[in-house]
Amino acid sequence: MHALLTLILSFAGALACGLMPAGRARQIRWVALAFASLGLLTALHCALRYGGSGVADEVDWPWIPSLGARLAFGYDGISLPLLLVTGLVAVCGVLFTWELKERANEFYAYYFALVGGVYGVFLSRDLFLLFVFYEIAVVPKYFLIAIWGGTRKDYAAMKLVLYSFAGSALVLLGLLGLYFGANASTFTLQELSQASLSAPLQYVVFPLLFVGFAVLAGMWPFHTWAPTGHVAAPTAASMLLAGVVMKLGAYGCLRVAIGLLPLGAKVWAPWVAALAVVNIVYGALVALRQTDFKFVIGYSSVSHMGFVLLGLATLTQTGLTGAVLQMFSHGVIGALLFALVGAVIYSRTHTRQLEEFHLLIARMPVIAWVFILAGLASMGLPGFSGFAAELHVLMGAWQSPWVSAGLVVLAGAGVVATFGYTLVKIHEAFFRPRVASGSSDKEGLYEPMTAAEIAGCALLLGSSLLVGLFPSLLTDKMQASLKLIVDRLNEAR
Amino acid sequence: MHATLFYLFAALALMSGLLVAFNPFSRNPVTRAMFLVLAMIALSGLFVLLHAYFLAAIQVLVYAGAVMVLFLFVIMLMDLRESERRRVGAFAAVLGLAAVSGLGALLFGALRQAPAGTEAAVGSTRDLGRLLFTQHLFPFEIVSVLLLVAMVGVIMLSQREAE
Amino acid sequence: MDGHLMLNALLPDLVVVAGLFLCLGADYILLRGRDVAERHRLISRIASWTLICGLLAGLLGSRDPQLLQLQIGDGQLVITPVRLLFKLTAFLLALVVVELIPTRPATSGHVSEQYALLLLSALGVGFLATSHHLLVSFVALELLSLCLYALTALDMGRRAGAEAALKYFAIGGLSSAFLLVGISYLYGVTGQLNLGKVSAYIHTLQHLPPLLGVAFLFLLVGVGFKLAIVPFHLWAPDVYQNAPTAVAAWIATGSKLGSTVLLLGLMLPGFDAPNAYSPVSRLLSSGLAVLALISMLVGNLGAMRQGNLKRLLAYGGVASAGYLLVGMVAFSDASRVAVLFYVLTYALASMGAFAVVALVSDQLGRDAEIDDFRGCWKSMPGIAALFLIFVLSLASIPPLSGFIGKFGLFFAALQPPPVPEEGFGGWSWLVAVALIMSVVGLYYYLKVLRAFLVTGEPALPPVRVGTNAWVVLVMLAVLVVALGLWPEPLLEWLR
Repeated sequence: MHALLTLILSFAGALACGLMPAGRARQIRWVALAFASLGLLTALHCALRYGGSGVADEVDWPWIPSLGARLAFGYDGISLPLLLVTGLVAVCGVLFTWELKERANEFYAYYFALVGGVYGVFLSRDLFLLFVFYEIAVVPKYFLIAIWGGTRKDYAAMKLVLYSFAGSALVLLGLLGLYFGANASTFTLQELSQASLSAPLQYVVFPLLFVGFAVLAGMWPFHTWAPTGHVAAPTAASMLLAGVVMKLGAYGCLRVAIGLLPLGAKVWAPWVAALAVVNIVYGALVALRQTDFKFVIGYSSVSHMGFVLLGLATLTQTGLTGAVLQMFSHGVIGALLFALVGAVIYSRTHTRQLEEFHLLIARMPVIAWVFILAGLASMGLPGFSGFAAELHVLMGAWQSPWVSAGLVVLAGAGVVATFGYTLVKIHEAFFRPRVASGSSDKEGLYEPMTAAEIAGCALLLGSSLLVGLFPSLLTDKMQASLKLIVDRLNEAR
Repeated sequence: MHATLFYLFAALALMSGLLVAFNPFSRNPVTRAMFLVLAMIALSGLFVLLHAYFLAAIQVLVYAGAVMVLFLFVIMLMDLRESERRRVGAFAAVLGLAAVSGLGALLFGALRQAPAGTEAAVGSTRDLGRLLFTQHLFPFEIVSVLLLVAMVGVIMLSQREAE
Repeated sequence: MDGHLMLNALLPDLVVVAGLFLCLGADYILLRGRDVAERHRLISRIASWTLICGLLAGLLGSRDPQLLQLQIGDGQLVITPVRLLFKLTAFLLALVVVELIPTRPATSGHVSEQYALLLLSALGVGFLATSHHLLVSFVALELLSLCLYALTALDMGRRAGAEAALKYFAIGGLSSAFLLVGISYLYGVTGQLNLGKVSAYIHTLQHLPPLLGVAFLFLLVGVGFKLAIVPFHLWAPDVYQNAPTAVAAWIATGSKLGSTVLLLGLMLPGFDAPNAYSPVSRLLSSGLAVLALISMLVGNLGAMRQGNLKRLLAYGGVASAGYLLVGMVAFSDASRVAVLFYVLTYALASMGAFAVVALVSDQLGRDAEIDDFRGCWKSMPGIAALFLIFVLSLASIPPLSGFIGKFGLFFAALQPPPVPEEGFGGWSWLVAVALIMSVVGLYYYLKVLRAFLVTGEPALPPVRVGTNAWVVLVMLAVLVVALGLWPEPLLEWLR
């Protein structure tokens, strides 16, 4: 199957769900599941077919010649894991919102518009096109949060969208700078990567592009949209946000900023590394202080994205491999954690305050164990994908001339802090008697997981385990594509 | 002689134009209308100096004559009293004065440096007619449509509740 | 001049003139004493068929190559593919307005006059689009403006409406005077009325006479008023809010199309400059850059504070005029195309947004507060979805045409100047401001969409929307989407 099918299926899904009558929630969710699963199958098929080097399924049609924009699609080893994670999260998002009744048709219309935009970014081989999809992914988030959201949804939705849009304004400025600086009258990645860009231009344009994209990746100090946005968002949306949308930013940083501006990257990499370590440590420490379960996960996302950014800042083959692997890993695990906290546990306890939980391990044992497994995966326990990813990142950082040793040590401390808050929060959530009085958490056993929830958890945990046990499944595919970028970095002076 | 007359008429036109808008002595609308007549007549004097006799005559006949009669009719029929004093905010006044004096200074400076114009020998009825109906036929036709707008607009705005 | 050819070229306009007499005649003779709603039904049908016939006549004319490259009377009537496109777009937008005029007005017994004035103003826009001549442009602009003043005052029963019309008329008259003085100075310096010849003459001058600078200043004031550029925008919010919504829609779109063509014509010396840094283009582009900056700031920051949807759209229009000037400052071929494309797409999306407001709030006699549209998704899902498309295009979200339009403007502003010493992207600071302001723009447009699509219980009962109105709304939405997905044919046509 052609990779473009993922994109077409998503937008077709948006249209199909949007046009169905609102009352038919049952039919709508089956239609949504069908479109999402077909998308995942397409992504899987692409992954199996991908040879390990070069750009696959390349198409290139003229679009707006006067602007130098082309309809150029294709995927390589870097896009591939992200396509997979998008497909996985899209399917699981539908599974975890199985009970949604209110305005279901609109929900899935916005949902699939967002998913389609994300697929589009990962598949674009033309920067103008990439930017178009990047912005397509902005607006649906507003409606998903503002309509179906929870805590302070108006504020969170507006904040998130304005942050994203401001970031994309920076990106646009950077892209225009790149276009006119390269003087090649084209936006295609292929030709821009061969254009020669003067060093001063790269020094100016790199921070524009990197910061613009990194806003979406949750880079400190532009991360504040992320926790509030994740907490306010409905489960499926927060899964997408944490699992996929934050990766859009990181992907843009890697593909556009680092991939096209090697000189700029080398100059700015130490700063990026410092900010990334702030992300890791700050996110972990703040997560430790949270009492709302969803905020804990929100800040842990910020911390984990710090590893992605650190991996990018290493500018080495190992570090970049780790960054991409961490994008996949956090995509899967972050989505799972948000699903568990936002849907599975919340739908039973009707509260997310940790001090109101009462010995949940005894009252929802299966769910608790699934969460503990997910928490261990998030911590980076060997055997799960997080371990392989963080190991690669730290090894890359150690080798990298752009990341100072002190920062690596700090990042290592961040790993310890991650262990700390994960274990503390697991204890507080599941093993502790109620602290606060007047809780809505009733006594007695809770009903077991539904089939949809089991399927979703299995899919996400399973893929994390699979990649954790056999990281080479993904890393082998991405080596050639990353090597191109690293070679460019080494050659540029 | 020529220059003296020009400055005389120009000053007259400007002065009476100002007196239409801000008359410190009288707030009577009829007085203002009369100053407007004076301004029109001064303008026609300027046209005469440019040898545009036809335009000068039209200026007197149509503007100073017909249009002003209409104005006076409206004033008298609607029994307009002295207009109330309008209060202008200090900020608006300062801003307005600044804009006007800035524009005036700019205009004055630019006009002082402008070369003197050459005298064109058009102005006869025949020349004007020829121009209007050959070279400028198209704008002339558009103006006729414009008059239609005026008619339709007046019908619509003046005649309330026709039924 | 060749009378036969001229008549052929003016066929669409003659059709419209004939149609407007038909409207007036039918109303005064056949329908005397009939019910207002019945008169509306018949007269609006005549008006729409008139415009459709005008459009068809124009399209037929476009098949004749002789009529597509026509210049009559020293630039008085110039027909090129671009100009014809603008003229026909104006007719198309007028056609939309015909469908929006409320058929049961409580205030006015005048029926045919409204349609006649609308048709006349469409003629005015058409003449503006096809004129390359100072005199004709001025007369056409007056034709348009007089119609708009009268139409604004349509609702004489409402004090606010009459007040807005008076304000519009007074400031508009003043700005016309500025325009006329500017034109006469320009004529005085150059001795030409044809804009092309004016520009050619200016380039023969060794140094610029100061009077020319004053002339351009006055021209900018005059056109700036029509386009609602800051600081000449003060009429816009009041007029948009208090004029009947259909009329506001027409002011925001038709008038804007015509005035933009006029602005491009007046700025021709900048575009024609042998190199981009001739004194005249330097003068013009720095002036335009200042106006662009303050228009974007005032428009966007003003729109943030509005609670009334029509006022908000008015301020949004001010901001869009600012963006338009950003595209123009570079004075290249790319910026000409970008400006034309932007104003077309803006007009389509803006017309759509106003059309939704007109259909929903006018029929219920409300003043279009944003809160009135609460819960539209529930009572009128189709309308809400279309409104989403129009507003997102105004907020320049891809893949809608508004995005391509705005991108084109920024793209043009950053084009490297032909003289390399001037450095990369002469106007990058202006583009940066424009991008920041776009974020502000998204904020207030999302606030509007929030009322339409997010909030709970509907504030208004559902409104019945007629078939014709649906057809025009869907047509506008399709155009807005299609021009975003595939802008190349239009860009090619404009080039």
